[in-house]
Amino acid sequence: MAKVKVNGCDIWYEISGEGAPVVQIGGAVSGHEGYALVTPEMAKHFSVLDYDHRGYGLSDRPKQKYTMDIWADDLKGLLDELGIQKTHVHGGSMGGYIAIKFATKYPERVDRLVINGAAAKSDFTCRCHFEVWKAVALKYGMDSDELAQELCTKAFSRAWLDGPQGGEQAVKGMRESTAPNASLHVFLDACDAMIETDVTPQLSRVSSPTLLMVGSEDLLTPLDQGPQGAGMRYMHEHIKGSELWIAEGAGHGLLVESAQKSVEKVIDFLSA
Amino acid sequence: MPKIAVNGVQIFYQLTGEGDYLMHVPGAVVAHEGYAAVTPGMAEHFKVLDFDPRGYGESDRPKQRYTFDVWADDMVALLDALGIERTHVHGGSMGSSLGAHFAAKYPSRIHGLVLSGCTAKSDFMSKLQFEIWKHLATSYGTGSLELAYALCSESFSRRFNDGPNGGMDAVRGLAATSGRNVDADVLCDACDALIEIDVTGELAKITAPTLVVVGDGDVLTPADQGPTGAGGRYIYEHLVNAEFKEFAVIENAGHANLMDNPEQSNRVVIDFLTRVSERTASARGRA
Repeated sequence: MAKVKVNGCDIWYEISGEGAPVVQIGGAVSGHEGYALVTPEMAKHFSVLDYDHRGYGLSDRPKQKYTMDIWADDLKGLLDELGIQKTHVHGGSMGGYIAIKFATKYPERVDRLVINGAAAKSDFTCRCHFEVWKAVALKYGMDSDELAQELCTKAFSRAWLDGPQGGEQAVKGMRESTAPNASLHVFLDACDAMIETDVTPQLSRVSSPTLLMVGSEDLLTPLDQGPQGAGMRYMHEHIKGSELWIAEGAGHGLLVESAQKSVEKVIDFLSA
Repeated sequence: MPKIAVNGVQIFYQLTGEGDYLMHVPGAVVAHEGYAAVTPGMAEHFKVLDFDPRGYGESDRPKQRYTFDVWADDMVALLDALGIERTHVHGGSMGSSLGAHFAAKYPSRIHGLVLSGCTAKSDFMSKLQFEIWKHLATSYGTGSLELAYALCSESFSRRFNDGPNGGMDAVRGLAATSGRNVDADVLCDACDALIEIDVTGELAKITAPTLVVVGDGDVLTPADQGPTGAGGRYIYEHLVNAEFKEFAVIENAGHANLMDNPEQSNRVVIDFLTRVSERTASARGRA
């Protein structure tokens, strides 16, 4: 548990395990806690860098405008501070949006790239989902059951929500991981950043071997966005030599729903 | 625009076309306007009965508790008042859950039944989706963009939302239609009715020929609910006493398959109900 000053902001980070470096980028609500189930397995093979991006978790949360560029630039700054020249990068959900932005902006810093549950460009349906997130967060707050309910409908599949880890305890778990890690002003910007993102013109700059992971039941960042968006399949078709991997039956949160298989896949891919 | 007294309230209704009766049962949000694009085509084959359920549109909206029983009892009273012995029934979205409940409660009044985007029992995901509608309707209003964002993203396919009829025009249009047709208290009761619904035990009471319709991209009432729910496929498999039954998947369509792919959606409904009508006519001829 340490902090380092990056671009004027105290960034919390933690390094676990030994081996080639892997940085894990958190999503829009839970900061680095989104990788809590993943890090112990990953740390058996790699030197895992978890961190809270600016505005989240244990890092500073200044009042400012938050964008994908700021988060990508902070990641570069964090790697500079830690003396990491090149690293594997794994981003899930909004962390995937940040990872793809980072990989197009600083391709020389990426060894291998793993994106799960993200989009290169949001379609109108995605925009509607994020507008609803903003509306519910504004009215009910980051620590509300209402927001946790809404997030659960987008994070998980029907089957998982009906299963032993689902139901009201999933809502409670979502609330408990959101409340301490995300602030309203940051979350609203995060939603806008996902609505506005468009890295389609820059995808050809990604030069690293890339693994694209998506749950077959993902409603938020599905395999195929509508014609105005660019989803996982689009990225696969536009990132040279990339591999597309589908977690059958899993929703958006495939690291939770299909944890073991997903982590094994990530380890295999990064070890190749 | 006629109205008629039914169980102590004024119910708006409209009859269009000629042929066997076809009653359109509306969904939770936009009342009979949800069938605006469908009725003209249907009226070329049937005598279409559109109506606004109690609490919706141009019908009376008394302050009371709204349930599927209230609405189903109003439906049978409306048929009585109009002297309609038997009718085809086409229900979409909440109208299909209501249609299934009606068909189980009053089986003798149903000619042919179409259940489109139907849930017999909501799984946890569906319950959460309807809870969110309640939150948005209560805090922002039924005519708000906030509620309409949720309705559009869950009712229409991604292709539709990105197409010429989608986007902000669809959101603004749905917000306006929703705002003028339902108030938050009625919509909340409708959502609670959908959260609590369980007609799985009543499906065996449905005797009419039944067509179950679902969009292949429906994220609100998909063919398969989670294990605690019962979606269109479950309904189809458990219509054990239906005279005959069919299951149609509408391609490239979300929950609102009537708007996503009106061509295929209308075709399968007209085709099915026409065959039911012809069967009845030929049986009558033999008798």
